[in-house]
Amino acid sequence: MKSRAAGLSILVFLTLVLVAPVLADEGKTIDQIAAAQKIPIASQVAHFYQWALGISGLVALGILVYAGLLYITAGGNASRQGDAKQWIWNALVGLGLLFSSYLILNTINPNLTKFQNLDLSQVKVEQVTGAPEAAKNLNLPELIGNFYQWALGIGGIVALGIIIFGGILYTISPGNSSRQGDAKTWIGSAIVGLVLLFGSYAILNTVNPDLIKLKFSLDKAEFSAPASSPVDIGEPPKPGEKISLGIAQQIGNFYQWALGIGGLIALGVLILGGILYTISAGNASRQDDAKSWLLGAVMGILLLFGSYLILNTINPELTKLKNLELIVNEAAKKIEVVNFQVVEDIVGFKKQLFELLQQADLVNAMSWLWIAGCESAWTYNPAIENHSSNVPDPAGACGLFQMSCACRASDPHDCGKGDVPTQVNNAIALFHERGPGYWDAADGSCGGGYNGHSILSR
Amino acid sequence: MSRRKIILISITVLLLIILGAGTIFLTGKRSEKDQGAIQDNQGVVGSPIQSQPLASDKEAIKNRLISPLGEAGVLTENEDFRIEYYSPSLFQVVIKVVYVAEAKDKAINWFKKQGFSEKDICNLPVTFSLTPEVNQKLKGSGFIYSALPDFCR
Repeated sequence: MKSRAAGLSILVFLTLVLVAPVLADEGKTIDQIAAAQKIPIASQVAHFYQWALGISGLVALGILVYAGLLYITAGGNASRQGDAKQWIWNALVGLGLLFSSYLILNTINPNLTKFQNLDLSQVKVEQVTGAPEAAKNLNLPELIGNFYQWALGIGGIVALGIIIFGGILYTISPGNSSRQGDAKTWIGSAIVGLVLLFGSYAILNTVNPDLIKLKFSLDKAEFSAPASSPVDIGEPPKPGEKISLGIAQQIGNFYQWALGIGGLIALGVLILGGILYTISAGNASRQDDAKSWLLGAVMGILLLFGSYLILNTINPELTKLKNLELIVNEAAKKIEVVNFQVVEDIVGFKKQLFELLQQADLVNAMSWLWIAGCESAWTYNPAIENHSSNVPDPAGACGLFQMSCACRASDPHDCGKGDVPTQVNNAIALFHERGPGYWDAADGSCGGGYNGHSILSR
Repeated sequence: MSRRKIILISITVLLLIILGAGTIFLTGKRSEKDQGAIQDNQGVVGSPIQSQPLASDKEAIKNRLISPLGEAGVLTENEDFRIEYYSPSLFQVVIKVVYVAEAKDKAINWFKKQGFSEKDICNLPVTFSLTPEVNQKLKGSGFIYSALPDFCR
């Protein structure tokens, strides 16, 4: 009973901690994700995941029904009632474990549950004036970045599979303490592995967030001019034009690259250690190996970034590399915010949008323009998905007015999908139907909840 | 349940808590500069953003400013803000830095230097917005951003 209470407490804890962000997440359906990515393997994995969860849930449900019948027909027989309780308990624990796995993955990184594939089309889709073809090419940091996401994703999926397996094992082994012990060991190892995997992410992010983003200054330098360059470059470089770097900048870039590559190697070792630990299933020898890898990686990271700390302690200017600071021109900025799918001529777009709004709702046109800005995270991107990701998604975007991506049949206005005039008309129709409360920004403040005082007038 | 398993589960839960706290800390982390910017928590507007007639001398100033732009365009731009104009009468200040309140004041002072009073600024009207990059930096900071200047409420 003590162990059950402990298990139940942990499940309740995990559920309470993890369920809120999941409920807040307005995710897309698996089909939408697969359609957006147009890569079959992602769709297959995602469907398998849904099936695994569904079938496991059905098995647990069947056990619950069976146990209920057993209890009803026990006729006061304490032994049979005990058996029934045992079945019910195991089914509930199994269900909890199964769906906790989803919650854990979703909380650590929602992309893990979306099964995003290696989408090369997302890399540098932005064309750079003067170098459109070059901009389409992949570079090393981006390839490594994609690999990193894959490695994390695969590690997470492996752990997820083990947790599901452990959950099923636990569910179908009432009273068998040996098998329950095995199941717990599998689940425990998987959870520890998950924590280690994503602990590596947290560590790297804490040491230097750029290591996660895999953005190295060499890329920027290719599209940028130095602020006070020791090299006379004459005319400012055009977007896409490569310029020669001074020795100071080359050293600065090499330093950043060295730190980045060192961090990546350590990250790879951490992931490997995490996976080794995850699949060790209580095997002490393999767990020791995993720990050795992990310890080595952590030591490496400490040494790498210890050098940074030493330099910083001696003279903070040494680490700031101020003389290497580069001005990132507009073209480079657009590359930086590639995920926003920047509207190239934002003033021109806003002009057209404003004209459209004046035609549709003259009284509120100014307010609508402002609301569209706030709701689209000031990108004015008709294909923007949502505030949290800022990822454009033509397959089911929330759009300028952040109408829900769900597009429920019961709510014809509840979908931003479509061209800009449709989005405008949908928003205005929804406002006249229900009032301004749908949009937080309708009170003229961006970033807070709607408080009932609207800047829209009927 | 063996002692080792209890310890393992406890450590896992502890790590999850630390990870969660770390995530909250990292996502909510903002620099001292950002802290200074999180002061723009104004109240609500409560009525549609609309332009009102200006006095003839102020209308002349406005016409002088917008005449080179046509239907829309950028009135002025510096490292802190960009002022955009949209026909027939909307001036939108796009703040480009995280010192939002300071940049707003600078933009308002720009209008005042052109000869507009605070009432005129409300009647133009002038609204404020952010760049996506600044918005991204301020995300998760609890920052609330108002459409209009304080004195227009």
